[in-house]
Amino acid sequence: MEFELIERYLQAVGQYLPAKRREDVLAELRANLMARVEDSEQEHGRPLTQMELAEILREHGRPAVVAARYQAQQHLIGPAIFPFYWLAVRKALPPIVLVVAISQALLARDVGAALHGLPLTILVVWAGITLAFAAFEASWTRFGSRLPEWDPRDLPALQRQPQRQSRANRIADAVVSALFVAWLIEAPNQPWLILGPGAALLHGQPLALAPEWRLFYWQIVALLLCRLGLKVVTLFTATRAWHRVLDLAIQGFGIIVLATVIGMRHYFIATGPGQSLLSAYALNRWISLGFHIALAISFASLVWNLWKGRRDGGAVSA
Amino acid sequence: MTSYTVRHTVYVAMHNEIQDAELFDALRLELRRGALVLAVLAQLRREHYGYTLRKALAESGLAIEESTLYPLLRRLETQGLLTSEWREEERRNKRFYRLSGAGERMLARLLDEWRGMNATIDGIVGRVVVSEAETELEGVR
Repeated sequence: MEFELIERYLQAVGQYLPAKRREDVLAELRANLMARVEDSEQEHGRPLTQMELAEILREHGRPAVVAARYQAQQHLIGPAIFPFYWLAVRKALPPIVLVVAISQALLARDVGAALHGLPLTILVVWAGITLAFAAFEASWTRFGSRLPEWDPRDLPALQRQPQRQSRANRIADAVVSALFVAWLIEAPNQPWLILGPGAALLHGQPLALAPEWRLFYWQIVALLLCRLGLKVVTLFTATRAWHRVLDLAIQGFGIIVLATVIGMRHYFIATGPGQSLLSAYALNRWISLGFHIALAISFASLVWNLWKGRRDGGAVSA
Repeated sequence: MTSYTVRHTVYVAMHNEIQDAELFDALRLELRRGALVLAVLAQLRREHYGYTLRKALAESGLAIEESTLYPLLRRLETQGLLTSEWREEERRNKRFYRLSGAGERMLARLLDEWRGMNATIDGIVGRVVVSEAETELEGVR
């Protein structure tokens, strides 16, 4: 068949067209393509080769793209709705995902599974938001909905520029950190420093600090000292860029400390039989869960600050 | 100058050139989009079917892809600006388009808008050219 290639092309286009208009659109495309082929044949003074025919079809466009141009709506979420959609994704996605992840961790009592399920949770929540907006877009297009009127006088009041952390704050932060490190170093020698008069309550309890504390103790102290050193350095640096870098490094050290503590796995051990074993197990699980949540929040905060720094840096340089 | 510096400079220059070309294409496409509708409506004051319309536009200097033109004709017909009919010509059925009454009125309004915009742009460009020439003259003095 001489023009089989054209028919195959039209068949492919037809697969992407709605049944109602398919025959009509294909008949028109066929007439136009045949007219072009005849024109070309007249020009060459001979029938076209399959290669030349293929070139005409290639120029005409991919079947899916050609068919898509006959469709009314080419987008899931149009430009009028998109800014609201994007705002919803940015503002609603992180808290929803956080709440879902924490609920999953608490219900399943398994932090690892909750963290593993995090990508799927993000995907499902994002898909839900997208579908809701796509449905709104469809009704918007079909029923000619309009966005509600807005009044500029309803705009929120001017926000004050976020203030940089003051020097007094930084000094206070460094002093508190120094006191904490001092306390941590001295606590093994002075047990009353841990719980004060409450230490008496622990006597007779079938629980004791796990031996892992001995292994990780100096590692934690060293990390905290490094962090304290960075805090002291920020007191003597004047530029905003350096403050930003040092703040990120301090946050990074905080995350390493948390990760180290999580690595310990056992914080208390049972010193008595039976029930105390279960109590120690439950206590360790809850403490571990707390540290995991703190780590997730700290990590998210670090990523957010990194992104903010990159954005602000870009804005300054732009 | 090291070979790395030379390679880097050439790479940056090529990259900028490609970006410029892409940006120009995108802006030109945006500029052409509205003008295309105007040209199609104007051309369809005489009856055409898709292929001859494309040829007529190309001969006037406005080349347009088939995959853009044919769906555009359908859209303009749905909007009531064109009418169409299937008719046999040279032993083949073809769909002929022509400007409708509403299309003619719309074309007149759009042409007014087009001429107004042209005059405005010419005015702005003219003022800029004059002011640049004046600045240059000041510099010579």
